[in-house]
Amino acid sequence: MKEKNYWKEYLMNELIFDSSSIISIAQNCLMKVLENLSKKTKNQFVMTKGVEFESVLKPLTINKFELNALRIKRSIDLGWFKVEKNEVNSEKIEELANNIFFAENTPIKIIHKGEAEALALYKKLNASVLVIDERTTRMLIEEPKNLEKKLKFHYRKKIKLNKANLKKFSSFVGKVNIVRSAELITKAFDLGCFEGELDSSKKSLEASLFALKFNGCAVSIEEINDYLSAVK
Amino acid sequence: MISDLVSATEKIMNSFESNDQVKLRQLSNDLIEEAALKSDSVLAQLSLISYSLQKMLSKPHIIEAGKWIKIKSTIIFSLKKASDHLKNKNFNEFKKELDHISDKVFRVDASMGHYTANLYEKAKIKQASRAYAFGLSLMQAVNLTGANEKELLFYIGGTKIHDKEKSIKGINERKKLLEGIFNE
Repeated sequence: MKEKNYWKEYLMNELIFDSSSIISIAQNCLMKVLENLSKKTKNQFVMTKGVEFESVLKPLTINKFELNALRIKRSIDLGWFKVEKNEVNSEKIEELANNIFFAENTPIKIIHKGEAEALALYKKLNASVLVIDERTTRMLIEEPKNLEKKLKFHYRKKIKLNKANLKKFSSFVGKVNIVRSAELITKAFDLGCFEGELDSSKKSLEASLFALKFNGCAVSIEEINDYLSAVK
Repeated sequence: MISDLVSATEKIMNSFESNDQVKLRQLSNDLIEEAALKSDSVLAQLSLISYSLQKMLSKPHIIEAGKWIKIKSTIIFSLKKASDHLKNKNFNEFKKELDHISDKVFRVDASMGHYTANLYEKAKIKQASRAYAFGLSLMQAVNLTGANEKELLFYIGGTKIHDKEKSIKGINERKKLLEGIFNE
């Protein structure tokens, strides 16, 4: 037991963030909550250089978006959010992911370099969690058959899934633990990390979850209500 | 490919000339679907132009303004030029003309519109959201249309896209995953 606690002190899991999740959290002024979670759980939050560009460097040049960018920049300056300085090679992931679904023999480019890089960094660092709020990358990893159904439903052209390429993709990326900003915030709530930003009431949690949802986190109202119904 | 683009450009031009808003919107939706399938930013740009032109036609303060007739004929002239460039297989000039039209739409709304959010930027968000709804990833939809990621997230959050597709793992299940990782 003592040994476990000893290691726990020094154990640092790495959580890789896609730009969609960081933007949702910062937009809702929940960066302080995330910072508390990082410190309390001694986990390292990491983003790729591409994500830093999309969520900090680029919006800093646009008046309308610079406030959010400054919130994220501060987390990097303070050191609890790390930017992976080394280039991440995402070519293989892009190539595999974008040759799974076909419309009349033409591959559908389903994911972009940004998402592929986050996934590549997860793999490279052997990280513990990939935090991603957008749903396509998550579905491609967790439920490709449902993604296929979705594509078939929306497109008028015939959509085909190349099973061999899907298998190659799944085998290359391996097991990926995916959470959304919604789960991070519920965990932060449980661990008392709302302190300094919000009071620790169920109402604060409810408001935070709905704010994340309405800022693009791929979570449904039903999921949120199901979860909240069990919160005392 | 080029014949598709010529046809699309001419359909936009004819629909705009005849003030056919329904057709312009339909073209815009068809083009973004095609653009998403082919990952083709030129088709996406044509979709944005078609969407924006429809929006302009729907705004009385724009179409009733004295300078509208001149603006409209300039845009029609540019669409005709773009189409002619394509027919002559001059793709670079065609793209330049599309950029010119996009810029024109942006400037018209900037000077005559009532909102600080530009109509052309709204078109990017709207059509990127469609591409995302079809199944493209968020960044792929951003890349295709040039939409801003933060604004797109906000727009998507206001739609029912994520309510129609429940994730196979709910909040509790994913939270348990975090608990395992946090070694609780």
